[in-house]
Amino acid sequence: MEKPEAPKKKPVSLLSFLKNYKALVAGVISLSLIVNLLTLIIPKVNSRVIDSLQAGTYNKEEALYLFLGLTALILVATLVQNFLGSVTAEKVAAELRRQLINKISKQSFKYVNEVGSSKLLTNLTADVDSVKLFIQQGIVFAFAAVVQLIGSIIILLSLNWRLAIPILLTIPVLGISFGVIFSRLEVYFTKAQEVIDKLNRVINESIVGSALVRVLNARKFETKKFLIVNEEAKDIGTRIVQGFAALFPLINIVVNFSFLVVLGYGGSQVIDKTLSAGDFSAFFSYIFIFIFPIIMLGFIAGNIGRAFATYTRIREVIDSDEPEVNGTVKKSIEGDIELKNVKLEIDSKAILEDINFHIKPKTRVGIIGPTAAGKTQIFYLITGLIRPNEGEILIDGTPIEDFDNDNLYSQMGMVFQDSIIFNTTVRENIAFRSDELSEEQINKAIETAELKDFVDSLPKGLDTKISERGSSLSGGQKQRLTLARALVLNPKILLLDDFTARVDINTEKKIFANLKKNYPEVTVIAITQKIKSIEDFDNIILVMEGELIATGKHEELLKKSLEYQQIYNSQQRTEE
Amino acid sequence: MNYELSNDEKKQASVKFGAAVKALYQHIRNSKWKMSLAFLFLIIVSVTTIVSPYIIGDVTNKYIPVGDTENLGKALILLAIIYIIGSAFSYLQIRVMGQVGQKILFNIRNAVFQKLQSLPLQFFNQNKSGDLISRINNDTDKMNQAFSETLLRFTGDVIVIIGIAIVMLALNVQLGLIALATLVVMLAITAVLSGFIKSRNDRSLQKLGELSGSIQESLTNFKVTVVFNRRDYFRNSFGQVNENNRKAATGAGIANGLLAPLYTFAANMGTALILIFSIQILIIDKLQMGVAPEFGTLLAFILYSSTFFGPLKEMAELFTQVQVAVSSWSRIYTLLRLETNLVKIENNDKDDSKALMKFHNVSFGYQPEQMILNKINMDLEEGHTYALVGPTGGGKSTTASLMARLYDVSEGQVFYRGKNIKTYSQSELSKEIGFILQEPFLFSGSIADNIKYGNEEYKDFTEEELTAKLKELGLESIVEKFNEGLSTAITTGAENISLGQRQLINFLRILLRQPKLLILDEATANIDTITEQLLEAILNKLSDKTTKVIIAHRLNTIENADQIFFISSGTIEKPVNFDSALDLINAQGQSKS
Repeated sequence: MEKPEAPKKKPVSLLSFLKNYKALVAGVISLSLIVNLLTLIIPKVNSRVIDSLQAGTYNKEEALYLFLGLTALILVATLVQNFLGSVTAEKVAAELRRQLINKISKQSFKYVNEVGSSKLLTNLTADVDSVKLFIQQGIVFAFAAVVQLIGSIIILLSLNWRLAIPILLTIPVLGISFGVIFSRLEVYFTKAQEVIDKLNRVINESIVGSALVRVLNARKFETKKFLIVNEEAKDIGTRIVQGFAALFPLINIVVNFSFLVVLGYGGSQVIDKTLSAGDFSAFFSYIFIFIFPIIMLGFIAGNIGRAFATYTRIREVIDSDEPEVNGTVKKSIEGDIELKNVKLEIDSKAILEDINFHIKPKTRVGIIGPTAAGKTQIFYLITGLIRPNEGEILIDGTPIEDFDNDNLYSQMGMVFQDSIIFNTTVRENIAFRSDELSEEQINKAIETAELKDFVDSLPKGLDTKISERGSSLSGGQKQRLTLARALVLNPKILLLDDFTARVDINTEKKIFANLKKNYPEVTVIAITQKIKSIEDFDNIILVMEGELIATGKHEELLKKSLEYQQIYNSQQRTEE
Repeated sequence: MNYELSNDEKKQASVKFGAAVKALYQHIRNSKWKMSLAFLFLIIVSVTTIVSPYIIGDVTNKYIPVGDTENLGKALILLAIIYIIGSAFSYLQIRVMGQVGQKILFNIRNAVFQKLQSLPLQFFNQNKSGDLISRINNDTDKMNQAFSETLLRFTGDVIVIIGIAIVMLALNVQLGLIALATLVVMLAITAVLSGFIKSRNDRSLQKLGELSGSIQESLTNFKVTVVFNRRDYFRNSFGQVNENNRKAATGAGIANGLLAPLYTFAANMGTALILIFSIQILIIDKLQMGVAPEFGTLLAFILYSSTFFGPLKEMAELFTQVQVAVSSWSRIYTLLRLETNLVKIENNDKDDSKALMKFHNVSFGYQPEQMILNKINMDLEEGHTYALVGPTGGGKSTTASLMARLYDVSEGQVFYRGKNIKTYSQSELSKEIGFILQEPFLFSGSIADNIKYGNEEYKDFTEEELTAKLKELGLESIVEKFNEGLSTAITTGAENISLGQRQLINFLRILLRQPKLLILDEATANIDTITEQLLEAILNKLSDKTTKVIIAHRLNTIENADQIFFISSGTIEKPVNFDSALDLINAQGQSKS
């Protein structure tokens, strides 16, 4: 199996990328060579036949079998060539996709967010497709074209070098034209793919936001947004097509004029009897063979341009710098978490300022504070999804970045604010981390998350498939599902981001009671808006505008923190 | 109604070819003049292609043997003129047709997108966004390739072939017939293989859609993949679809590679046969008859057979592309022919009560076999505040969705202002009903863009005007919660702001529309309680004609409701006061443990 080398510093060019498929590419090319050689022979046979006629040695059967044999060979060779070509192209495409995904999967959350799923989707589909098209058609055509060109040039020269020269002069003329057109269009090839990114984004947003669009009856808005991008796509597409529009007629006129020269000059040679009628007609046939590859190059020119532009885009992702993962510490953690002088900036704006706290193992800690106080950022920091600009995050005394990711994440359960659900079965959604979980572990997690009734009510129980984005589930069901996903790991640390928001008070109470009973060892960090949910926690951290305002138990905070009292009072009207 | 596309594609039989072609014509129609123009150019180009070998034949036949250099010169000039004309028109034709191709692509993309917008929510619950994106981008792109090049080249080739066939027949009937016989053989090969080719391409495109669907989902859920350290899951699940796609695409590639070699074979054999027969007929037979052999005609035939079979070889490629386009179009067409079931209908159902909204024996299920709501009855009166409470999954959000007619009831009726809700248009309803959804969605752009979004009235407001309007409605204090106010940027997926902030923006967006019926589906669930008090104050200041429906878990947000509806297991109860509602909620909690 071809294993591509690890990405080097210098980007691997498309052609050197293909080195991994040497055997296949060589096979395809040599077959196309054979096909081309055989194709070149045909007019030669033609002229032999005509000459044999004049020499009186003409034999119909012999001529027929000769032709049949030749064309049958060509048939078989092209069929095999096409077969191999498709196999190679698809292998390369699949490999490019694999490398892309491999890289993306190693990338940080930040990277994927910044590049955006729309662009990555284009990289994996449209971009790879155009590289594939190049391999399927471009390489073979280009190679065949070159071989045919050289072959027919040699033959033309050997037939009659004087006649051949005007024909050969067309090559530099055409070469320059190709070059000019390409350099003018190069930028548009990249732009064309970037527009696809935009289309992807608009379409995807309109799908993910479909409920909102319907509630607001904002179809016209969506359509207009799409129209603008689509218009841009049309303009770029038209520019490319029109840029190439000159190429094809140019080839035609140059070639045809060389044709004229042959006719005039060659014709006079025939008149002078310096050229045989047979050679004259053969010469014409070779001109067709000479023209054909040039025309082919004209057709695939766009394909080649696009392939190189998209390959560069693909390469950017494959060669992007991976986040540094040099963490090697593997240990069983207790669940001790410490933030030391943590400072976080996003777009050079301070989000968190000098945060310090220490959470002891097996305790339960609540983080509370107004919207946009930076609570979720603290959550992300503890999960290692983002890195602080200053300060340290220690888990069991070890800096979080020193941990082996797999080791750490296998001991941390995380429940995000936005419930992320996969379009697969309930079981796979819960046992997301590992397929080797026992039924017992899964059931314990389900029971703790108060999901048992829900799972029992499903037509196929745990094996019921959930629709994309979990649109068939209620908010609370999704949230508890993601809780079960976190619990099934038997985590040492459980991080809950606003978990209680969509779960009713009673269920919430039961879940916390279940947690205590079923997972007594776990350190719980719960970000919440509801004091009620964390009243009996071991510690409460109050965060406001990126600063840690106060910490302590509920009663302490009530006494010492004015802000806490305020929040408490705002929730004290009916919740007895 | 089932909107599942993949399901629909399995019973392809339901798509009639004729109807599909007719539907396609809809998108081509407005380009028909340009197309006709391109077609005219093409005919000119084709004529020059047909005429030039004829002149060359004439030259070699008549002038060269007798050494008539004067006529040779004239013929050369004529040829030069013909070539120039041919190239000029070929340039024009490619330009015009390129425009047409892009225009058609543009039209089809628009049509698909507009269709997506017209389909109900149910459709999106049943289909993957990545697959839909693939239909709009990849499938239309494949069609574009067919339009910008193939269609005209195909027609051009057909013209050349027919023209040359006629000339050949005129020159010599027998030889002409041989050429035509080869053509028939090729068509037969095509007919036999086209079904196979199409089925391979169908499959390949379908797998590409699945690939795209899988990628889109994986990327959207990347966060969880990272922290559960299932980067391997990401790779493996992708590995599977990638492999499926590779197999299907290889199959399609192989199928697409069949026609060209066969055509080439037939063309080469045709050329050989014509050569052999023309030698027989034009030289040997003539010599035997004692007539002068026609070397010139022989040369013309050799040239003609190249011009005849050349385009035929090309047609094999083009024909394959047409098959790909047909496959793409059928995927697009499956989507285009879906119709929303949420149409405005005439209906004389009347509700004589004074209620603003009334649910009469409403039952509903997302799937017919699984009812979520059973015979629900409730009245909402103008200016009152209602709270929907109950356990998660009990049907609260579903009830709210029915109020905004995101779905149609399975049984029973929903009345709005005494008339069946189905008799209102979407724009009428959305003007009156403001629904703050449970999952706040933001588009990439600024906060201002997001709150103006979908608002016909304020869409052209400048930031100052918008600020003034927000002030007037008492909403400016919410905007102050954002560092950069209205111009705060929102990234894709709004990952740069918290869920609570997203909810605030959604709140603004709906309040700005001043709805008559305001539905808040856990609209403030992730907002802190102090900010929530602010929102509550805003809600309380709304006109006393505004009817509010609040779904919430936090009890303080619903204590001021005029009426509480307790929704559980698809039924509704109406406790007399807040305390008895609490009892119900608590009882629910007990019975379940």
